[in-house]
Amino acid sequence: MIEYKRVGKKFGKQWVIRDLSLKIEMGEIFFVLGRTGVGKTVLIRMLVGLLKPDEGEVWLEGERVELLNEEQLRAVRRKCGMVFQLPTLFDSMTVFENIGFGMRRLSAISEGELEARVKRLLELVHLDPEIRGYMPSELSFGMQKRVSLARAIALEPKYLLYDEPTTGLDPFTARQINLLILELKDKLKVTSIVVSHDLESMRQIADRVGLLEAGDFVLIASPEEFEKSEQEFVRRFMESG
Amino acid sequence: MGERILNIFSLGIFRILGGALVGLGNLILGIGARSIFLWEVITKIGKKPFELREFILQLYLVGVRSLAIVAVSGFFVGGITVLQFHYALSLFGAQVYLGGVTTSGLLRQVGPVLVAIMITGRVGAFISAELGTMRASEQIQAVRCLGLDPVSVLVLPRFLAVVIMIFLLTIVGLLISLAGGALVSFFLLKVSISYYLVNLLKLTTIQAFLNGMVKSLLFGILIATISCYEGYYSAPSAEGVGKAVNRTLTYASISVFLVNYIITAIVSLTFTLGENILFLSGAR
Repeated sequence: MIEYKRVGKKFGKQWVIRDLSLKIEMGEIFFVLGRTGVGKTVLIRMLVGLLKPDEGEVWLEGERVELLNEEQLRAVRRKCGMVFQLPTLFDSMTVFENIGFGMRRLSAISEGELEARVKRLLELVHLDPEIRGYMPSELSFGMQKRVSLARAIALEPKYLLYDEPTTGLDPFTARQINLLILELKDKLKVTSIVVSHDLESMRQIADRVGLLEAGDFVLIASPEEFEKSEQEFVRRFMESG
Repeated sequence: MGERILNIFSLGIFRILGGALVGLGNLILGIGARSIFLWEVITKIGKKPFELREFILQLYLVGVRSLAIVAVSGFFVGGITVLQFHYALSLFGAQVYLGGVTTSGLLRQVGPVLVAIMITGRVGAFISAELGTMRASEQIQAVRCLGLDPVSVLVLPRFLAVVIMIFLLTIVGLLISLAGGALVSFFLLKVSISYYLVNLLKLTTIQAFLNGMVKSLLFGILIATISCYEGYYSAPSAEGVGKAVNRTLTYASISVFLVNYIITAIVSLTFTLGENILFLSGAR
């Protein structure tokens, strides 16, 4: 389980997150909605120790993440697959090497097994295994995002953190990515946090949604309750989308 | 009026002193940060998993790809050194010592510094830009998110490759510069190869060779540390990467010349002191 307890994070003197509390249950897709720059990405980065909170506690499976050292954080990060806003593929490596990057280093796997696993992962994210020899620059943006998703799930994480997974994609590809997120949740039984400002994605995939504004959640609810909410800020956000 | 001028003057002095102190503080902090980084890299040596594939690739990129440029410049530097020394020696009618004098200079000073500066420009800048771009495009964060240590995965193979290859390239560069010197002295200056080689062996000591090798090892560590550090900790933007490359070239070049001077001064001082002690004790 993931839990944020009265968490605060500031950059310089500016508090981006303040007194935020949240519990995420196993197996759910929690959707963090919010405007650009309200600290959505900060929230998931604190979970894997890429950023440390200035106040409060971040818990993951009974461990206080902010108290762990770099060595201990590595074990936490292996439980979490992170899909960045940009694909962040290693541009000097092929698709095969990118997906196999973590497996090659962290598991005793033979080249034959690795080959088979990369093929399966490419199929899982609906990409032709034939592209495994391609360089990232030879792929479209949407394909790169899928490859980065395949790399994130290669180590079989229990949690998947998506940072703006549909940003920069056309509606058709964005819908495919959303369906993929749902499919991975069912097939891999992962708990997911999706950070986005895309209302359509929220409607398609969220089990619960939280609207972040001025450092804390304005509302945490199911997508249906969220759509019906009479809160002024929620209404304004929905209308602007 | 006089008091006012004095006030302005003193204010100026304090400002300059303050600025100098801040500069000194920043310099010490900068050296400290790079030393800690170097220590962090050294402590990862021998720990598993070692990035063997990346290491071999970096050996190729740093070493094999730099071979031609080191060879060409080594050849010409050898030739130029011979031409310069020939003129000075000819004033005393001592051209026969050309091989010995030029080789000693090449081994101790010119060779290691030349290779170090070539590698700084060719490889140091490349490593710095590569790691800086990886920082800017969040590839380093991606490595961390996979539960891996970016220093072990990305920095260590580059660091080791630069240190090892500068050492080996210095040997290659020296041999080619000696060959260049011998050929120029034979074809242009009409100094016989046998004279050149006899005096080379007579005047060149093993200490001169070791001196050059120790320098090349230290230069390798300096260049590898500076280029990896600047790239790894560059600001995540195009401007940040540009500045990181700029700092790499500046800091690495200055460090090479400074360390070269310090080692030369220490060796020269200990040599003189040693000679004096031996002379006074009558051990000669």
